[in-house]
Amino acid sequence: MHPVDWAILVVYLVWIVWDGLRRTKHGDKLEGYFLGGRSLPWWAVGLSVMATQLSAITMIGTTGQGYTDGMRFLQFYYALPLAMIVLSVTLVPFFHRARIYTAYEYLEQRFDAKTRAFTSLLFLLSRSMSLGVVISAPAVVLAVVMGTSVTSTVLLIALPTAVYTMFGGVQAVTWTDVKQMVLIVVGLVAAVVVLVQALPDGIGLGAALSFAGATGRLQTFDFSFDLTNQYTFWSGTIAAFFLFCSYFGTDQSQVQRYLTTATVAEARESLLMSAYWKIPLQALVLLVGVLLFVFYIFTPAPMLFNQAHDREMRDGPNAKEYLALEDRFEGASASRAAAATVMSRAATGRDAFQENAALEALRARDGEIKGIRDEARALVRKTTGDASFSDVNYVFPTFIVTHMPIGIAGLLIAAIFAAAMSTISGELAALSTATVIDFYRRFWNPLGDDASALRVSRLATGFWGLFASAIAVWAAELGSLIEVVNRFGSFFYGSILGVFILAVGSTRATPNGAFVGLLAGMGSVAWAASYTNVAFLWHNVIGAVVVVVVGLAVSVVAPASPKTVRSA
Amino acid sequence: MSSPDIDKGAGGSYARVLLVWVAVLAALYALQEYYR
Repeated sequence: MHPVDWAILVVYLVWIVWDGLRRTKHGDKLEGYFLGGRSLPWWAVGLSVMATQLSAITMIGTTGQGYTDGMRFLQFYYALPLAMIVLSVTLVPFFHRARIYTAYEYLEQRFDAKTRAFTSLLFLLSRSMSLGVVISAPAVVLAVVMGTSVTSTVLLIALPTAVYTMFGGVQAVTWTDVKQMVLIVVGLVAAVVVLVQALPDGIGLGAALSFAGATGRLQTFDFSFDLTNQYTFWSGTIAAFFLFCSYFGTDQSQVQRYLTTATVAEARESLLMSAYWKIPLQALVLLVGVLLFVFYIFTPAPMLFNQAHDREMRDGPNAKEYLALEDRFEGASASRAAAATVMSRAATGRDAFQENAALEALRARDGEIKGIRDEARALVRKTTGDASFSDVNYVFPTFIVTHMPIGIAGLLIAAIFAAAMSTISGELAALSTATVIDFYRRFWNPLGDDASALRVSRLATGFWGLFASAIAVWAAELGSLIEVVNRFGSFFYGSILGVFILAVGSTRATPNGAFVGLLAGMGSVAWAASYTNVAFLWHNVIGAVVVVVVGLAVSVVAPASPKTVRSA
Repeated sequence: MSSPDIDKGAGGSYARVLLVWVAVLAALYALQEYYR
């Protein structure tokens, strides 16, 4: 990486920590530290919600998916606006008017202390683990492209974030998120502009999209019904609906955000911002990946984007086989570039026959290249013993450091850092809040003053930052990062959503019914994950449905005197 | 289900979200089919 790009990254890191620290007001009160005095503007909270949800995995993993698979991953987000409306009508008003700090506090108001403590504990376990993955994903990739070690990259991302979150609380998180979100969008738009300008003369955005369309990379609707496939229209609208309801409605990292607004209406507006912008934003991220694919039609691409593995293979025992694959890859790439050029000229000259012939050739050569890359990855797995090896996450960062103009490369690396830090800060604040409000203040020191609770809160933030960093170094050994993150959550998300459905949807649900239902839901997800091929997105549906059915059944069979639902 | 006391003005917001949602999905579908 060029020294100018390093300088941009360092300036960003210093500026964001300084900005986070100077933003804190009323940080000496627990409500100021955890909820920003319930007075933050809805637009800042809305941007913060989006920034937390858009992690560095989105920047590097999703662009990589756009490069290899195209835009079909977009289907994953189709239900998000519907989930936001449902949450705005149901959980948001309940939470906001209950004047709570954590979502799980509401479960004690409605059921009992053990249900609150258990769901909060599940949140702490699953979120701290997945936070480790959120840190390790960019760290592993950036370590390779920046020439640093994984551990030092983990610390470079996590330490500044932990510092401003520890001392600034949720206000620092929100206001830094706003700037980080702007930096991310500016970075993505800059990438699109650079990629389009880097195409050969005569190839514009329209031609680029026609190459992408010809190879299936603009497919955003797959109406096949297949429970083992994550990315279909039905998975995206039904199964993901449950995931989004659970994530935005019951996960403290999200709930805490809309509790920082002054009114229910502002809380709702902050959520609806994601309903408007999440799909277009995700489309922009995937478009970067698709344009990377078009760029590499005309510019020699490495067969594998992970340069560390590439070097290892060239010097390893299967070097001969690897170099033979590379010869085939280069031949097929040249043929694909020729077909694309012919297709573009034929389209300009309105020669439909030649255009169709070139389109078929382009498809065939692209299929051949995919096959060669599959063989190369399999060879790497066999040679290195790394069964989960994939180079998908390296596509965009490799492009940034090898083809982006100096300065813009630094901006984009800073944008990847910003995406990571905005997610980490929100989750650290949520982990700290749940630790202090649901455990320290509830069980250990309920009569303590704000000053002592604040000291513990800062310590808790620091502890979770270190814990997640340690998990990050370990998680670097795992592959398929984007799915790993979602899998951690999916083991619990659906079941926790089920408990909240019981809480606000039924006056008959009893504390024991909810608790037994929660255990049954988690057991059913564990069974589905172990003994079926059902895609993990559907685990959210299984968990939620089982909790509601079992919870209601237990409540009917063994009725207690249910507490009245608090209408706040 | 007990009423969460839905604000009366919110219906228009939800209708706008749904309208934009349908428009975005329709645009994506049109893009897919145009460049197929």
